[in-house]
Amino acid sequence: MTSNTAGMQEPVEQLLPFLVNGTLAGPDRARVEKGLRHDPALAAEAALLGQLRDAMKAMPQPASPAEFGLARLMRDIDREASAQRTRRWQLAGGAVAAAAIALAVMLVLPPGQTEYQQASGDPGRGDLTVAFVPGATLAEVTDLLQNNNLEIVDGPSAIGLYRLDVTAGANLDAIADKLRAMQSLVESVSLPE
Amino acid sequence: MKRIASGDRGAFAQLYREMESPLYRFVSSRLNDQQRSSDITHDVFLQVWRDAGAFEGRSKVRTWLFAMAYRKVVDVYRRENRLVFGEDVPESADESPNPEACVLAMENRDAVRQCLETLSPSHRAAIELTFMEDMSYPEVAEITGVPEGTVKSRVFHAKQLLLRCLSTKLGMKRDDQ
Repeated sequence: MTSNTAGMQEPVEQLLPFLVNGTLAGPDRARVEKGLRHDPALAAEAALLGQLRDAMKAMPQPASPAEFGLARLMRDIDREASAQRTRRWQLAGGAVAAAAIALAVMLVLPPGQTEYQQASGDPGRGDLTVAFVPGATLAEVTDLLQNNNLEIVDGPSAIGLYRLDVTAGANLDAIADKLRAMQSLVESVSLPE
Repeated sequence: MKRIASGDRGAFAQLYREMESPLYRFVSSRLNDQQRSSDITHDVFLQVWRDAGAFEGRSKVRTWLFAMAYRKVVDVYRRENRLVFGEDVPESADESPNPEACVLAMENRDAVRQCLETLSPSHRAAIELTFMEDMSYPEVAEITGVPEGTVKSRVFHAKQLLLRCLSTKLGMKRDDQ
């Protein structure tokens, strides 16, 4: 069989498979077609490759998941979208709760105190560390604070925690238990270590 | 792809129905494992759904999908310490096989399959993309991440090895009779 090499070009036989599968174009195609016209051995090779291609295409194909696979994909896409929606709502809920609680702080500030003070400047304060559920409203948090004589002295932290002070002499464990029982409003309660 | 990027599930389903079977065939041929082939095909389409907006149209969608699948298969090979795709099995001499014997052997589909299985992963991927998926050499190069010249060389050698194997198969069959 002839190897029609010209300069740095590859042997024309290496292009033959791509003529056979119909993807060869431009100067490559012209070069191979010229070779076919002048070289019967190259033409025979092209015919053999065509038969090999046909034989490969005729091989039994594995059964793919087909419509079951599509159903699985759609299910996972739905789950992913649902999870994204939930995350967005949680973020939005968290923001609303944070705003609500900040407002609650303003409402329950002790008389004479004109602005909220971050307890980071007073690390000794804070009897309880509390996280409210993402959907907590201003009214609910305000009621909770007032009904239990609690005062927010710090928060929210980066992860949404608030430090609360209780009235002097109050039973800290009892208040913590009471807050823990309010599961629709309070996510977690912890006592100082 | 623009429709898919905008969340059009109908367009996504249409692409899936067009491309799932060849993609699965390609993956399955590399892994020979039905469950994992399904999982990789699934992962490719899930990635298409997520990243459709990032598709820039510099290559065909089909090439993009096959390239993703190929990379995932290579990852499986690497995890399992199988022969890595870039490592070619040493070539023996490319003497020409008997064409008539090859044509007769091609009639036996099992023989064609068995001979394909004797090829190295890189040779097999190259010739299957060329003859089963009818891809151009630039497309095969893009999918397998090698230079175009390497693709042409791989397909040429794969073809030689296949024909020689088929020629041998016919000889063995005649010996059995």
